[in-house]
Amino acid sequence: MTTPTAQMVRIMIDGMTVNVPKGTLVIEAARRVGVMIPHFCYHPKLKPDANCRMCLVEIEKVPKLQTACSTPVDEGMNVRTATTVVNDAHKSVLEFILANHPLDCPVCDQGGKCDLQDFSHQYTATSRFTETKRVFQKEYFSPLIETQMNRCVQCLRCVRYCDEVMDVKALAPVGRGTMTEIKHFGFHPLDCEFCGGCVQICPVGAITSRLSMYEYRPWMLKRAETICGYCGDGCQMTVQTKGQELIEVNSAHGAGRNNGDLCARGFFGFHAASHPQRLTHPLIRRHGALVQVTWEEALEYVADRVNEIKAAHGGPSFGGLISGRCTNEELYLFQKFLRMAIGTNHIDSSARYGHVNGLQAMQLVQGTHRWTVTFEDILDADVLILVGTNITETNPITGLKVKEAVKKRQATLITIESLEPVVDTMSNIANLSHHHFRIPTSDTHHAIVGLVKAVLEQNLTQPDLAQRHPTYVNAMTSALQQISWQDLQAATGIEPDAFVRAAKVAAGARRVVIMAGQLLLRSEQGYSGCLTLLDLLLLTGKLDAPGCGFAPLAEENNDQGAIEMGTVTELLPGAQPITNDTERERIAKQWKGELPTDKGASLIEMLERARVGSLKAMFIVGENPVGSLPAVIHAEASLRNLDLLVCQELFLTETAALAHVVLPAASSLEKHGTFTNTEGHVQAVRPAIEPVGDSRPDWEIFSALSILLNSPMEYAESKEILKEIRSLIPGYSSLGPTPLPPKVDHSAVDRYLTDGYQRDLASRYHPISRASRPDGTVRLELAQSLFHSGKLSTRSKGLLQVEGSGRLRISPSDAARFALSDGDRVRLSSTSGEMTTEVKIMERVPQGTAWFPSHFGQAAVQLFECAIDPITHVPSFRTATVSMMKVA
Amino acid sequence: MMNTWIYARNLVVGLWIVFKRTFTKPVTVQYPEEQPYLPPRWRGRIVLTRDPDGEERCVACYLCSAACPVDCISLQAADNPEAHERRYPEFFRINFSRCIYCGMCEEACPTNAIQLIPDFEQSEYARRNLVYEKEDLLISGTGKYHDYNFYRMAGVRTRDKDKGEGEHELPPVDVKSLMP
Repeated sequence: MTTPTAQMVRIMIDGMTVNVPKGTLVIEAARRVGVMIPHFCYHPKLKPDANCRMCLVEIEKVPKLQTACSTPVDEGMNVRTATTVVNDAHKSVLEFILANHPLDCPVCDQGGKCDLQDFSHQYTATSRFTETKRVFQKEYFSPLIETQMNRCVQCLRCVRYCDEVMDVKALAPVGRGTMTEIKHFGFHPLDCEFCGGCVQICPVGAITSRLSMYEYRPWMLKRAETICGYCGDGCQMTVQTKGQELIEVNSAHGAGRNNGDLCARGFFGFHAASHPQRLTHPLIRRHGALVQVTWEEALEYVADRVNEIKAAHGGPSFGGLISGRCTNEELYLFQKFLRMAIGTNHIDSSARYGHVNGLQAMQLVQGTHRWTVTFEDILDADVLILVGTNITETNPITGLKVKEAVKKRQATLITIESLEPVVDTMSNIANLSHHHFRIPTSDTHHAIVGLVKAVLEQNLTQPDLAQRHPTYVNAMTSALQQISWQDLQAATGIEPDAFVRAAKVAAGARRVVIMAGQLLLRSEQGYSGCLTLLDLLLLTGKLDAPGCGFAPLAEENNDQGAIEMGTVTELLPGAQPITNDTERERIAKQWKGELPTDKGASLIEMLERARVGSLKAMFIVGENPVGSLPAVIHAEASLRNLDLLVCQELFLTETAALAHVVLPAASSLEKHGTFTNTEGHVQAVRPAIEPVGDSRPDWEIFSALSILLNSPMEYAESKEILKEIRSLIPGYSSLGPTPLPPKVDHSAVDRYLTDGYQRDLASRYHPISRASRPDGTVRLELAQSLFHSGKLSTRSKGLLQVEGSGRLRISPSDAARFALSDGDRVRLSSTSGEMTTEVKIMERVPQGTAWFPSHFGQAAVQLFECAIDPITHVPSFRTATVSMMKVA
Repeated sequence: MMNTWIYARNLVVGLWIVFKRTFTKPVTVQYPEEQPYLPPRWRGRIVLTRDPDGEERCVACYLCSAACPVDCISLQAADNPEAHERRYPEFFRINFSRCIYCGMCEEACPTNAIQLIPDFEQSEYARRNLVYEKEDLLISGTGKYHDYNFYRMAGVRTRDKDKGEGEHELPPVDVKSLMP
């Protein structure tokens, strides 16, 4: 696409004058004055191809008709779209298209929303071509996507989308002329990212979704605009339902932060909410078994037990854990319920698993709890640095922004990832990278240190930083002098030159955005890695420069919200530290009560206290510590030790199976609320269906319990909670189209530069001691899979068809070393445990490493040791050294 | 005098009509012993017809239910695993207690499956008996259109014919060949 410059030109379209930037396409300019030019192959996201010839228009002084989708506007241009000549041209183009189009509208799923159908009606098109029609052989295409190539109009939108936007290149046109067919490569069913983009972008019924095949006509569906509940990107999606039945999900072009793009989880993962195993009734444990009861019974039982335990042991004998998949309103009410109705500070959420690392680092260095950049800044960046993101699989839509920045806007990409740069069935960000540091996840920190060292040694630091804060720069310099390039090269396997080159690029650029992903945030060096990245920004003077910033990517959809709602033990609503007395007073006054004064315990500490018996009761909402924490934490034993365990869950998970009371909760497709995405944008969640069975939104349960516990928190609807949140955190969630990122707090930066950095400088920059891995072992890492998010998506029938079970991903060279082929079973054993699984050979996996998707990780998680960050209390259990052996 | 003349004339004219009707054939039909004649396009009971091959014609495109002004048609499309790739209605239900016999469904039907036939005898003692399921609606003939077969010209594969064996169809494209 020609990039529109600031220069405006004036053109006439059907007698209407319009001023548009020079370089705009005629079709776009016409859209601005409300003139819709018919088209098939044009799409605003794609480069013009002008292959369908449907958008022909008459331009004065141009002898022939021109395609509006590929003609840029010029000063004084006079375009006519409604003349007889144009109309005749459209008609005959349509006639050609219909020459081969089958008459199968009645059995076509696109019927009712088909561009070809609409234009046929508009032009009352008939075809004089009575010759025989071409047909294509039909083959099984894929489990989720259905093709019927007879219907194809060969606009190639799907092929171009797959290449230009997704960078997957899974589809290609095969054949010539009318005989062109869209095919994937190879004789096996389609194996790709399954983003559903081709289904969404196909103007006719050639590519449709198999999940909703034959289920509906568009006019029968009810639509709800909501936010995807699978990852921190916060994509807006339209959930289409027929009664209580979930039929289809899509996202309109231009909608939300995702601009209408979705990933496999968003597009095909919606069936999790309507899984038959959903809990529909409250359950109480009687004589060792969970039995079905009414809500009144269950809530009264909980209230009675809470009162008993509170009277005997006091408020601090309670603890609470909530999932970062709940809405802001629920997260807020949960911490208010625990702090006010129960009187405990032992609160934690799943943000503890990693997001807290990034947040604490940001608060220490730049004094904000949010990104100082937005997705727009990523698109506009000159240099993007990705650290431990595996962005395609963890945050696919943020990944699309990176791809767009690199492919269309010429940004330079620096990646510190463990990905092998190979062409694969999925897009691979390492292929787009200009400076790729292929480093095992556990050594990511060394590569960051390498960059910082290069910056300091090449004098790429901001000139006046050394004058203003000489102690900081000197301390950094001397700390980094202890780390030699030889050690760094030995640890990372990368030449010092590569670091120097990348550092020069980063320091010389105007707009630099650093993104840290879950592989870094959830690792042992999560916190120190983030601090080091912030050091890198500080030293190069990019921290407070416009368009620059640090962006830790949230894995769960509302991790950011959990932090801002104060649903972690060390924070109050507004992400204020709990030690801040003025905030405590202000909030206590608003809540008309006293905040508990005890020092709160984080998740791991709570479980420890439960094991020794000082914690008596726990509320666990949507979290499954038994299934997701490694064996060394002894989560199951701890929870069994409790006098009262109340779980609010969608499904009977391993944790819920231990509970004394299980309360059925409504999923995010069934309730109102807001989610805060990873860039800090608060977006509205709207219900698509009624709560399944007797399930209720979590906030209603907290509210009902608080009334029974005599400290009523009554709300008629979740909006009232949002109002209360706004009164505590002024300006929270303006729900506008784009977020307004906070500015770097200069007083916080100064504090950090004078003494804040000293706290853990030594632990971050220490000489590298390298433990070698014994022969016959691999480095096992818990990885994120594109097709799943958390464990909820493993209940989605669509996603299970793509990835139905956890398979160990190993590199081809390791497969050769252990004499393994695809589908072989192996036994992995470490000092903590062992498991048996199938292997899948993937070229992107680096040698010596094996990835296991964490979503099926119940067995795998037992192999890991758990390290707990002393400052942020984040448990990390992502890497382990295991021996691998083939079994029959 | 004048009045008497008018009375006499009316009496004669009236009696003339009486005697004329007495000797003409009566219009009354002795229903139900005697059945009235209904023209073939009479809009009465709705049926689902079959194509000449004997398969059900309905492809569950939902157009009839969309066209119905009183919303009395409900159906669910499904894929028939036995006759592969043939879309068919899993259930098809017409509530005749609501139907106004307007014939819009017949006009909307792209496959000539739904047809209104000259039959009005649908009285029931219970209203629920006026809800007809697919078994009640489906007849074994082709109805008004004897030759039409949607799946012969839709370009899709069905149980009895492969790709390219329908009407106006070329043999399937061989993507490995470079010939047009």
